[in-house]
Amino acid sequence: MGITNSSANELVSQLYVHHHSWIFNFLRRKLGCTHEAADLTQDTFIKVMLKDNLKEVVEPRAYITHIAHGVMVNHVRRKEIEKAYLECIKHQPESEYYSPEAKAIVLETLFQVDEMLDGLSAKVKKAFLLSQLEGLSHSEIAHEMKVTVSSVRKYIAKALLHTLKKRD
Amino acid sequence: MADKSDHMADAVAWYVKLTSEDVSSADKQAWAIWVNQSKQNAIAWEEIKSTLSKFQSIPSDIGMSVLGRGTNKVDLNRRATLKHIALFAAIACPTGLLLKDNFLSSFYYDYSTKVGERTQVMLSDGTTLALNTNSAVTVNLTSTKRVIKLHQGEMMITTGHAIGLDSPLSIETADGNVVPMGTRFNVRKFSEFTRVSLYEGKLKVTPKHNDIQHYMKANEEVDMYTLDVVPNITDQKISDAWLTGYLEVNNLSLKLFIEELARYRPGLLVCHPDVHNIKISGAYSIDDIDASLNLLSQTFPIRVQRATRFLTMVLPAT
Repeated sequence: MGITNSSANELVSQLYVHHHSWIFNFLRRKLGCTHEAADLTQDTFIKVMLKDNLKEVVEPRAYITHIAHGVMVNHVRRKEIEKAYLECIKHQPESEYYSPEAKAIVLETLFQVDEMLDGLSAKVKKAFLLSQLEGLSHSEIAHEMKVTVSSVRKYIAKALLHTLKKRD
Repeated sequence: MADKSDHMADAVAWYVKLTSEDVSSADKQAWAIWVNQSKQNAIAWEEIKSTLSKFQSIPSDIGMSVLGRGTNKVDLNRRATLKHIALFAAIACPTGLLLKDNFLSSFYYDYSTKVGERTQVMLSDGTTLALNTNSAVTVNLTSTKRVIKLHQGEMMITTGHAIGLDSPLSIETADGNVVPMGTRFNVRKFSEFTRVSLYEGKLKVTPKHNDIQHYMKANEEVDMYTLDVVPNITDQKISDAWLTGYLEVNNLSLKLFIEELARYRPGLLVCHPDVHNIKISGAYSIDDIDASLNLLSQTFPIRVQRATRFLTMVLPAT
């Protein structure tokens, strides 16, 4: 076991040495920011390092690009959510959500939930959000969205199943 | 055997039915039968609850505009999400399914703590109750019985000289109950069992689904499952040091040590497999996890990396 572990470490450092600079440049080009690119390069390698089947990777360059791309997409989405969030609380300067802790926790939850909802159609998403966030009943949602109650139930079931599958 | 996704689909159908305006009490009974029918059904239901609990911690106005971006916005009267909380409270309690969710705690439990919090209360009968991180209890004191129920987490109980009430005291968890006879003891709910650690006096322990009674003596520690009571076979006894803000361990692997520390802090704290087996002894602060991690990194060949605000990793030193 010691041998496999140290050779895994060896592998990670080799990957790092060979791929660090082009990944960094790739991310800097995409993001236009040296600082963010450096952070995301770091995140990319942490992800690579935590994989246990690293040895089976045949095309390291493609593999790392794939991971870096995922890290970047997440980052962009996170920024988008943060922007929408700040926009939202801008008009409530007294809001308790201004504290850094509350902001961090709410943002993280928003991010996770947004990812869980990703891929749903606008109608399904809306019906689900109205039920979960506004606490509206099925018929209230039906009224709001001008659809039948049985459609609302289908939408909610669909959304819930989708989020459950995303968790796995 | 049915596929996992079948249980999920069934659970979703039940959820939709139970949240309908026209849900009948026959539906609720049928649901209760379904959820108790198999472990898979119960698990599927738990997953729905934990998934939906995420939404409940989101302020609705913020959630609607941030998550609903792209869907056309409507002007809505603000409404509380209390309807759903009421739903889970109403159907979850009688069947013994527990609410594990922090957000609901303040509505549902008599005393509760958030992750990283600790609190101590004296009940009207003179019993002292200390709650560790992320714990929840309900208390019911009457002239015929006194029941303290631990729904999640960990508590230390010191029984007092019963003031006013001399009815029998019983401590309950999902796994069974404990009857103290003038004692000081710790009760911690793990997912599969309840660990009872007795420091002084005597205790009678009865698992939920078995008539056996186990009597404990001082310094004994047992794991109570719903069907049986067995001695704790690990060499780690629960220390009461948490009461004063410390995690006290003796020769514990770093893997388990980090899992313990992680109980006290929101977000993820993970340990790299290469350093799992480092043995840790001593007392570490649970009120200042960063200080404890720093101390570790000075003593052992590890380094601590904060990947994001929510993910901290304990890695081999370079």
